[in-house]
Amino acid sequence: MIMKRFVIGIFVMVLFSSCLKTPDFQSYTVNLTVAFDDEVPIQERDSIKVSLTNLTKNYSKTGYTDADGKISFTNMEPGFYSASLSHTFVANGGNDYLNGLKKIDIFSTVNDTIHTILSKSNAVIIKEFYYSGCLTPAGKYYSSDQYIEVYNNSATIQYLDGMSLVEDESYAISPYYFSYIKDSIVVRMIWSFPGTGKKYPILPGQNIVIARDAINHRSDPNGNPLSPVNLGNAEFEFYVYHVSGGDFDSPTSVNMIEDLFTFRGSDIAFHTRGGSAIALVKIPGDSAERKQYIDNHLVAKAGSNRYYGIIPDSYVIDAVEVTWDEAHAIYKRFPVEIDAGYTYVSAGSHSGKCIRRKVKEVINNRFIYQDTNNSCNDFLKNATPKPWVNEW
Amino acid sequence: MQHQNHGLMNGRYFYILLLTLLFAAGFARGQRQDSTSAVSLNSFYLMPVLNPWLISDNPAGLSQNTALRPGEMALGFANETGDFKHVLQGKTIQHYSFETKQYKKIKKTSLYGLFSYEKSFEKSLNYSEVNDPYRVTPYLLIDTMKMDGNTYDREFLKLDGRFSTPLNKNISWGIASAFKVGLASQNRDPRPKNKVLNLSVSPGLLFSYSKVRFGLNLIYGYYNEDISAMIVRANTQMAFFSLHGLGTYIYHVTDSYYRLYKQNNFGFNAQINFHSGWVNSLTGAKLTFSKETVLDGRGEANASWAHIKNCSELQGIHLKIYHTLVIHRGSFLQRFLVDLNIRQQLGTEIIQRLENDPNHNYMENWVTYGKDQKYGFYLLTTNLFYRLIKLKDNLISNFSLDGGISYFFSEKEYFIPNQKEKDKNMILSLRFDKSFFFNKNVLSIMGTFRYKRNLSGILDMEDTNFMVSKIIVPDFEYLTRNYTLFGMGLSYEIPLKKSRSKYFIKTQLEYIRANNNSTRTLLNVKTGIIF
Repeated sequence: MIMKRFVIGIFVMVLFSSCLKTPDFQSYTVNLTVAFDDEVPIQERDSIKVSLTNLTKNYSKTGYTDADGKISFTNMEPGFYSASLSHTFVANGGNDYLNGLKKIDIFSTVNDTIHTILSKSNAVIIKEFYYSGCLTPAGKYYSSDQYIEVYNNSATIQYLDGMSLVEDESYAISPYYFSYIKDSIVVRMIWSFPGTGKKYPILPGQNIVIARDAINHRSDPNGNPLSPVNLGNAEFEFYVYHVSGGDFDSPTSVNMIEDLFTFRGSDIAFHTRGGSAIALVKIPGDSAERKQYIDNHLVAKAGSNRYYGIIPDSYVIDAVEVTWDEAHAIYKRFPVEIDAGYTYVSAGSHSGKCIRRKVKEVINNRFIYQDTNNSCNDFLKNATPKPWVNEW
Repeated sequence: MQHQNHGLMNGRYFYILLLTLLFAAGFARGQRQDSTSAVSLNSFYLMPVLNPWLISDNPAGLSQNTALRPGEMALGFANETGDFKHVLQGKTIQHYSFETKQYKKIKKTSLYGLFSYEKSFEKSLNYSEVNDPYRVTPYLLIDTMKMDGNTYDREFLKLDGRFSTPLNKNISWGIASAFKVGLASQNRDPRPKNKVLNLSVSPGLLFSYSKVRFGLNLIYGYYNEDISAMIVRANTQMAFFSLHGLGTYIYHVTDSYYRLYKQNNFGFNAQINFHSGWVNSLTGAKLTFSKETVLDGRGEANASWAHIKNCSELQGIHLKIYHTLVIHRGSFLQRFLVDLNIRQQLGTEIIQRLENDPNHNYMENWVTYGKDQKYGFYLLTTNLFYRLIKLKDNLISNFSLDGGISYFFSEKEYFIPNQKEKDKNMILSLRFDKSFFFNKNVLSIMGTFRYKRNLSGILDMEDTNFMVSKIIVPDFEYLTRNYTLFGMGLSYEIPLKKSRSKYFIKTQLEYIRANNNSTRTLLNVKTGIIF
């Protein structure tokens, strides 16, 4: 009898074991509708590629809209996503770019709308941004060789006079503090090109380098032989003036005008990990009017006496949203109107790599770089810095 | 970050350690020889045949030990080398050990104690940042480093103590506790340092009614592995991959990484024993539940998540049913052993985002948005073994013959992307051991043969990536390879003067050849004293 009960007990346990459930995973459907501007031709609203990117796991699913601009993603795991679309079409003899970006948290079935921005390519663009820095032979940080390269992507001569390079206030490691300020970006640095009109031309297909320190970083005694660049011929330089000196002032480079430098130190420095979102802007007026505009459009965080500049989106010529990595894209700062995407050097801090715009085409030996207003699509993530070089 | 390697001496663990130390230390002191039988190298091999309770983990079963109560103190060396290996296993492993163990009886109390110290060097190990990547968890931490000169240096200490004592004529009780602690580290970047703690405690009872005995023991175990990985090269960041199973992962680029595995498991084991004349049988069932959590963190000057992040939870259930029948007639011992193991695991990912948390004064904190069961693992193994032992006299083995057949069925699933791995394998094994007696010296030879046959294997990956191509596929190929193992061993025992103790030296060599011509060679050398 006892043995019988024992055997029954074991049998019950086997049954219990075999009845264990399989993973109770969740999956959801995401229904998205793309909202088009009236300017977008009807025939361009069909078959637009939409990507849904899991920001934690760094993978994407893609699909194409139907004629009504609708698309469904099924069997999506829960998590934090970004939905993006980027579409190019020809209108009125030129390229028009349609972009859209939306953060989506998927923890149930989602029905949402992606608003789109229609834009044209800019004449002057940010072509290359080297911010990661590198290591010295002793393994120390080196970031003095950071630079921004701008490029005339048009077929006509442009002038840099009065344009400014700005850096966003936030490094995108937490939710954006100034998200309540609409249709503008909030910046911590404004450095302007000198000149009053036509002093600093940039020819079609010409590169202009703005160096943090315009020296040959490989050979200069204060440089780093492991630096990837020689910036001795940089046309412009970020020079931070102090009576006591401190920042290197190249005699051959033109100094940018310091209009705003909220965290003023001995030199400018972009975040080597990524996070310095930059833009090329044009504040109307001459240098005095520009300065006056900036002084009249400052904002501070609560409890702080540090002031940041407010630049309307309409003043932005080109912008590059740079984040730490895919996961930090949730803290994207620039509105989709000025950059629908984001990019970063995935090789990481001090990797000696940069972000560089992809080449779209070459016309009569003039390189045309891709400018769809979406940095996800437009930039190479781990390019070797090559200032002044145009190549596929 | 708040480093969460809780001190070994905290609370309950201190008492378990103390208990273990007391048990083990009691045996390390050379107490009087209480064994009434002569001992030999095969004595430990004979113990679970003579007392089937030893295949259960019920410490009260020690009371059923026979007059044979061997002890051993030995130094060991093992070397393992070859290409036939798991992908996260080193190409060579050198292992040094010192171990002492003994069964004893003091008045009516039966005891067992073990102390061991192990030092090992696992060389040319790729990717792994965890001490044991095959500890049956999908939530591993790896990197992308593949270096031939890399070495995993390990140092472990183990204490195991058990006793059983009668409460009255019909009831015995006992407690077993084991404690294993160690450090492991690698000599490359990223440079993981693993602190491993594994302990268990199990109280048990044994009831005797005539020829039938019932046993029941409770089981509690705790596993803790704390990993601190640093990049020693200044100002360098590397990618750390947090695996979620079957090639799925998330990664973080950073210059340091911390991970803490904490597993609690509990359960019970029930046995019934029938012993009459030359028949001795034991049937038992063991059921354990486990829960393992993984916490992650990293410390950087500009840390975005220096805080503790919940990575995953792994829940498991393990059922083991076993039966052994021992027939002891004259100088022949026969043992039949059959068991069935069913193990299942469910893995849950914890979905969190770093936010300025209004509930915590707007400090950055990981906020949990959901939990999702994504991983399932099922393992069924069943074994059938037969052992025949011819005794010379006084519980000394003359020769023994073992035969066995094992069947394994394993299934792993991950959902979204849908990944599946399934395999069935069978192993046939044979072993013989023959002793030659020259006066009081004993020469023993041993031979082993094993053949593994893969019955089926399916690897169905919806998503292929670096992890799948570098880890999942090579490991699947390893698991589904057919192989043949040939082994031989030699030992020699010399009695010590004025004592029943013996000096011994034993060596064993095994050679594995898989059907893709990859090989693995295992050499074991052990020398010491049996008493």
